[in-house]
Amino acid sequence: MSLLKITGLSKEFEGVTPLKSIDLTVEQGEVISIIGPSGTGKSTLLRCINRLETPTSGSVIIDGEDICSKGTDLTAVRKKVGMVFQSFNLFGHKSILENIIMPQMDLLGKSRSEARSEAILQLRRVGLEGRAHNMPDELSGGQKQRVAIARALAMHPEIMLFDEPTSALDPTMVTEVKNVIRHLAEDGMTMLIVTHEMRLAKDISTRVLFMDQGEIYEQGTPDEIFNSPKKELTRAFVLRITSWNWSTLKNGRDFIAMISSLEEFCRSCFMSRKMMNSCEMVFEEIYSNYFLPLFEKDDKAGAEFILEAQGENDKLTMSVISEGTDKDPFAAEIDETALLILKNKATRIPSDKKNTAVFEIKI
Amino acid sequence: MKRNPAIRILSIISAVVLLCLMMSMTANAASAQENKPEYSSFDELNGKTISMLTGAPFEELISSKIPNVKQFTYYSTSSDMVLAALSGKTDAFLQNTAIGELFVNRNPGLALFPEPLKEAQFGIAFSKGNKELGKWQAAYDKVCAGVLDELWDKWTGLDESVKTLPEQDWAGKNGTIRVAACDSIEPMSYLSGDGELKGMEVELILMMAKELDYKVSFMPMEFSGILAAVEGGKADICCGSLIITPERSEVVNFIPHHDTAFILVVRSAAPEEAAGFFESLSESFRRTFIVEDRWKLMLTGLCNTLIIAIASGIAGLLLGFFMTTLKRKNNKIIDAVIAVYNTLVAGLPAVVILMLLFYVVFGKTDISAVIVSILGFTLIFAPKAYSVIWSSLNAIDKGQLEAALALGYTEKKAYRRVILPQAKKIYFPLLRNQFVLLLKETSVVGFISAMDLTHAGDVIRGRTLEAFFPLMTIAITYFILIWLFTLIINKGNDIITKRNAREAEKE
Repeated sequence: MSLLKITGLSKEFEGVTPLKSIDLTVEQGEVISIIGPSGTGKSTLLRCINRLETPTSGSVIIDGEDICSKGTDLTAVRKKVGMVFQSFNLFGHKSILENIIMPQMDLLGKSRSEARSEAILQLRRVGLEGRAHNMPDELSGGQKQRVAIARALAMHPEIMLFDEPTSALDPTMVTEVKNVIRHLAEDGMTMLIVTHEMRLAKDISTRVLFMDQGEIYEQGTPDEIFNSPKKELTRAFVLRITSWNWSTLKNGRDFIAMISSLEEFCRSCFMSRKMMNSCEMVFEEIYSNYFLPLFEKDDKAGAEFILEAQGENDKLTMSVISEGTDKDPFAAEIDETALLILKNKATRIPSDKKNTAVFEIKI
Repeated sequence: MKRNPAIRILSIISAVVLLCLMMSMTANAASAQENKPEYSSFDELNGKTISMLTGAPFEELISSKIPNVKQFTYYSTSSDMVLAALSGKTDAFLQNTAIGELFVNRNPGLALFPEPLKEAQFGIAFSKGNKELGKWQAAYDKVCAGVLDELWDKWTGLDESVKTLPEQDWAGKNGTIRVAACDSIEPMSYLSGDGELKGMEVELILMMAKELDYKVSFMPMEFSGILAAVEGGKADICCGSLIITPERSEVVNFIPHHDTAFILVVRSAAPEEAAGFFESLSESFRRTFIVEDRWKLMLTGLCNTLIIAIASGIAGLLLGFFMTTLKRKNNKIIDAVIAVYNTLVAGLPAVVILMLLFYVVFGKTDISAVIVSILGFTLIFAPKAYSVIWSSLNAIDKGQLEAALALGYTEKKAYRRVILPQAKKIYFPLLRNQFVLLLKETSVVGFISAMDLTHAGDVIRGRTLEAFFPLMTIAITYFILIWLFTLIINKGNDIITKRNAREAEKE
């Protein structure tokens, strides 16, 4: 029997995208990432599973019990479902240790010593046993989220729900939380993760759901969704979040706008500072040395720049496609310093496409 | 957060010292020894302030003697006028000789102005329909007329021990006569500290009744009600410092007794040497607390203040909590009821709410004023407690509740274990302040005749005709009371918090 079975789940409420008849079955040990544009019902779906939201119709059967039927003991079912929130929601009046001890004592009827050793165990699991006696306010966002995960784990849930666990975090803290989730996946925990972290989704999921307009638009293995999406919206979404694209003919030649847009993309991918600098420098040298002189001579000339992660080992490449001219811009002689910087930061790799130069950014 | 305890103690000590200092100043003001008046001719009173009881129509009379009165001021009780005269707020006030002499005897700071304004006569009033007036007049002439001056001295004197009445030990063959008697104007007819009706006119009526062999049933009531009681047939006779006037003679018949006059009471001339501070203080203390066991009255007042404040504080808090639990249900009707209730209480003064409860809602029942006060202040305190608690709950992030629910808490338990403890640091100091305000606000329960600390002070002021000492005593008592309460509430909270922390530490 499957651990979680959702049939015909609908939720309509004012001002928010409704859920339209969702069907989903989750087996023991599955790790499911739910991705998609904002406001498409991803979080609502998750919150319907432990009934923080009440569905309009349909059924959610967890471990054989329908949480939507009236007689169900909601609290009993919720104990089987751990949840981690975007905003951590640690109890502000209790220390880290007490945050994990209190629910066990209140809800599982454990003695203090039992609850305490369990709490220490879980804190060790997320690498925070050293902060047991701190108050939540004294921790960084990433640490708070790890405590929140430990608190949920201490209840020994059968399934864990993550509602955008890294969205409220600084880029520098995302990794620590991602690693904890990764370890959980390796330990075989059944999980549903709503996330904008494509790398996380790609790396640990057994299945990826792409949601759009309150429906599961497409689902498949991470490879199917990220590398060969079948449906148009999925493709567009995956492309948009995994690559940066600027065409001087379409988007104009405002250099500051270009750099800002590139930087924004790098941030959204949670690139390291160093990596982002490399991308910006490579772009800047290519643009100002090869293309600016060309544009000055020929007003109709243009170029399209595409920065994307490619292939299995996530090579970061910048493709440059010349437009509106037959000349090869890279034939021009350029300043030696510029050439040195470019060589230092990127390697040109052969490309079979016409008018296209591809640079691999060095990591 | 925590204030230095040394600074705290210092500030409290200095506040008490300040109050005591004020007390000593007032004690000095009241320590004049001789009863020589400060003013002795009408000319000297030109350009001065003169006071009378609210509603007494004597401005023309005064103006005829003193053409240039600076202003007339009006007070609702005689003891307030004494206070005003002693503190210099007014320079003279009008009274009849009976009350005036009593004031002057009791208070060395006051003296009678030598020239009376107008001669008059006290009288005991009989209903127009009473056919036996002649018999009563004959009885008066026989037994009362001879001892009139003796009685006057007895009842206007300082010696409280002689102010006793004869027992009604006669048979009363001719039936019972009903007397409406004023309950608050010494020396003619008043309720003493132990609730017994006393006074010169009371004694006169008893003497006549004995002579005619009637039993007497007294009905103590406010001055404003006595004539109406006789006119309306509820009583046969009424008494209470009634001065015979043509208007009054049209509605009742009088048996005149003692002569009196309208007279001005002024401050006594500054004495050569003021009595010792401690002497006058101890005299004030004796009068305020020892005489007639008045400390018992103070104690009753203190207890009632505490009972009203604590009981209504606790009940109001519970009701407030209950309202928050109702509000959480998100029911439109309940919300509307709560909103109407809150607006109603917020829009009415506490006194008005109390009077409405006492005279209208419970007008027909025999429920005690203290109970009504507790009920009233519960109703007043509950919306305050409610709004403090409700807004503190709302100040807690929604995520806290969701996290608790997701772990498997019931909503009730989530509030108890997660939300309320966090809201506490917001609501606790606010509730504590509201409670202190409540305690101070209870000082209005005297309006519905509940004997609280303030009202006890008023009653004692009315009896001693000395205003400062009881007033300062009450000020200091309230101050200490509130300081103690703040201390107890904070300490109690500390102890609970520490105990919880210790329990958490136990492993």
